[in-house]
Amino acid sequence: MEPARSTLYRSFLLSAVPMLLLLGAALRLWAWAALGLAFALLLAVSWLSARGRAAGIRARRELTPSAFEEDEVAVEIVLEGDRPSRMLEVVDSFGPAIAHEQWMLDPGGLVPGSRRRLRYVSYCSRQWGVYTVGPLRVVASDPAGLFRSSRTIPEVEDFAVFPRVYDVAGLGRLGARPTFAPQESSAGRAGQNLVYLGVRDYRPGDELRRVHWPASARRGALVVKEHETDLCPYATVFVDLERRHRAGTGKKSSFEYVVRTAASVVWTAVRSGSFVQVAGLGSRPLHVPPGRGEDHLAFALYELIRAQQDGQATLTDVVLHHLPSVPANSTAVLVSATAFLDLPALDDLLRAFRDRGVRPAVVLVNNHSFPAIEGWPPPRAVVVEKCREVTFFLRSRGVPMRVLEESDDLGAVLGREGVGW
Amino acid sequence: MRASAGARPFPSAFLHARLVGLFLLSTGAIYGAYLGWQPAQLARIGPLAWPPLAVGLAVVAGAVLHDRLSSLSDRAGRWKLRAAAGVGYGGVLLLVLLGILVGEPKAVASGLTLLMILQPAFLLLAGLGRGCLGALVNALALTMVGALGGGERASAAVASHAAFLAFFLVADHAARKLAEYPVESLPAPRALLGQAFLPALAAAGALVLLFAWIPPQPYAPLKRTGGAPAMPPEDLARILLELGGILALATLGFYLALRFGSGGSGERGDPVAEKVPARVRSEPSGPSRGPGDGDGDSGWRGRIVRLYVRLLGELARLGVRRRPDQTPLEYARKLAPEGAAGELTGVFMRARYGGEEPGETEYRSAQAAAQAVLDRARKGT
Repeated sequence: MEPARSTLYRSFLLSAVPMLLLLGAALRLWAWAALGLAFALLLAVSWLSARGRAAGIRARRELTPSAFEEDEVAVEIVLEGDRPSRMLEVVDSFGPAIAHEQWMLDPGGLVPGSRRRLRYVSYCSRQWGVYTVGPLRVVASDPAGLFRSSRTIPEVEDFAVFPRVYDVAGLGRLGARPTFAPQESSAGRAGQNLVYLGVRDYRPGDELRRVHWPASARRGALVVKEHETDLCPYATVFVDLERRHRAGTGKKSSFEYVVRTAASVVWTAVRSGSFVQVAGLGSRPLHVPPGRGEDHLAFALYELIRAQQDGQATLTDVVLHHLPSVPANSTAVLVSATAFLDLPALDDLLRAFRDRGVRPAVVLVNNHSFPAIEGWPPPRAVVVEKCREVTFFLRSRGVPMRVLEESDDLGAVLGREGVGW
Repeated sequence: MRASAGARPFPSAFLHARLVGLFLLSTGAIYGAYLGWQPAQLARIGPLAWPPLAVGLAVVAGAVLHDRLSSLSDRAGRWKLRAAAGVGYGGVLLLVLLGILVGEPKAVASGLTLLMILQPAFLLLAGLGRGCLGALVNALALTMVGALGGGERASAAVASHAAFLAFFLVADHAARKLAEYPVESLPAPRALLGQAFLPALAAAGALVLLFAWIPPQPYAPLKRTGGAPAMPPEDLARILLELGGILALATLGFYLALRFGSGGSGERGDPVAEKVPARVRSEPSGPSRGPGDGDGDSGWRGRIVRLYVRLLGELARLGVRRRPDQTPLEYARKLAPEGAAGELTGVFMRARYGGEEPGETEYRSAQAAAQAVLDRARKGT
């Protein structure tokens, strides 16, 4: 069979009409001419029937506004019409997929006052970023499929594709703040948790309901029960958006690794119930205020994919600028786009973190392992030596760290336990 | 819309209606030609019986063989074949036309016999051509030649041809659309096919009225040479009635054979495998060759690509169709088991788009994976 949108039979009729009319007139064969007229009439009726069939059709799209790379996305199109119509084709442009045109057929009749729902599932096959979905196009044809008419419905919306994220191993064991709100994680010191820690002597002010009466009876003095304290994990992610550190292109670039690493850290932290905030400084500041939960994760990832590596400020400057907003006893993850860090400035930062009880962790993306896009990279030996130096510097201060190279598989390296963290 | 394995309904009723339209058009054209030039033949059982039998068999066989014929040769080969067939057929038509122009009845009768024989041949070999274009052109030629005699016989031939063609076009369009899109639920065949009857009846009615007003005259040179045999009106009415009855009975038999015979072999002609190259306009253009085309298909690369295309055809028959806008990876996500589908797709993509020539190992692994996918799809149905 021919494809549904083939115009083969229309071409056949359009060729047959003049031939029949001409031969009929030339040979004075009224039967041939009449057949030609019948074909012409069929074409004319089909053309008139197809015209305006798509008019009066309204359509809107229902979909989630974001997804991760390689995720499947279900999209629903709701059709409404002012007059009955059948066999409508609906075309949607789904930007995140390489095959971005989605064709659907509404086989049943669209009746005025009723709604028809069409659904397709597409696949985010493009890299992370913000894409458009739409516009919608409704294509109608006459019953014989000889002519088609289409109408474009300007239903266009943005769709965010987030980078594929990986669970970062060991992140959950880093800093957290005590809280009165019930949490999943707790610390073995006296607090408000339901987890039983032990008993201690009664002190004035202790609530009577906390008195452990059997133990008090055994000892002959009042003792009270103690519970563990709830911990609220809290992470601050600092992202290096300094323009000087750009290297590589496309999926193999320092920026790509920085964004994917930061997204993975945010993902892991939010999934473990942490409050997360993100900071960076490109030409446009990257700032995600503290928050938790799925919505906050989506917001943080959305801000991350809109960031550009076009800033002037160094990572240490960014951290210093945001230091007051890093809570005590929390985790600070520094995602640097280079291994060539200013170690004295970093040392000052680490000291400041230590004073506030903040647990730092550092991920270094070695930009010199990517093809240089401006200037000459330092010799390989210098880069290796610098990586060793910074690794020694951080580990000697008890800072969990990782160095990411171009050849590294992010999922494997970030998910690996016991390397530096 | 996404298709889940084996859960999609198949538009059998529409495909049957399409084949019935083709049957009516072809048989009607042959009967029209007999009526115009050899009406006496219609008193014998042979000329009455062979058109519905031959056309019915050819329609069904053509539908069954469609996939195999269309995959026999590559795109260039098919074009050469079509060009050669077009030139040969054009020559036949030219000879018939020359015979008509000089008013030689024997030339017309010989040409007509040739056209009658060609009609089942076109239906049978539809897989080599585009759609049913060959059969439509030949049926038109038969009707035109049959109408040369003028009178009521020409009216009947022309009116029935227009009606059957209109019916075929509507049924074919519905079948093409519903076969191409894996819809969740099929529309009621009655409502859609009702749309096919309306234009058919309108076309026939308009032409009958037109011919009642201005009766068609026979072609003058043939009339002079006595090419078109005259027939008493009462005999003509009887023959028309008989032909109408036979055609109705034959059509009913053909439809019942499609409906109840071997699980409805009509739909086996659905050449979903033809739609393997995605018609997605914005997709980055790949190599100019389509799967299964060109000289590069020899060796393991070609075998892997053909294996994949064959599997697509088999899966389409089982209801797991690949949408034209789906990439192989997107399609693979619908298939089960995941491992086998992923492996097969990976091997196919490396063979189809990769720079390295695959080997026998890849072919064997693709074969095993394809078998696993097919087995699962069969279980699913």
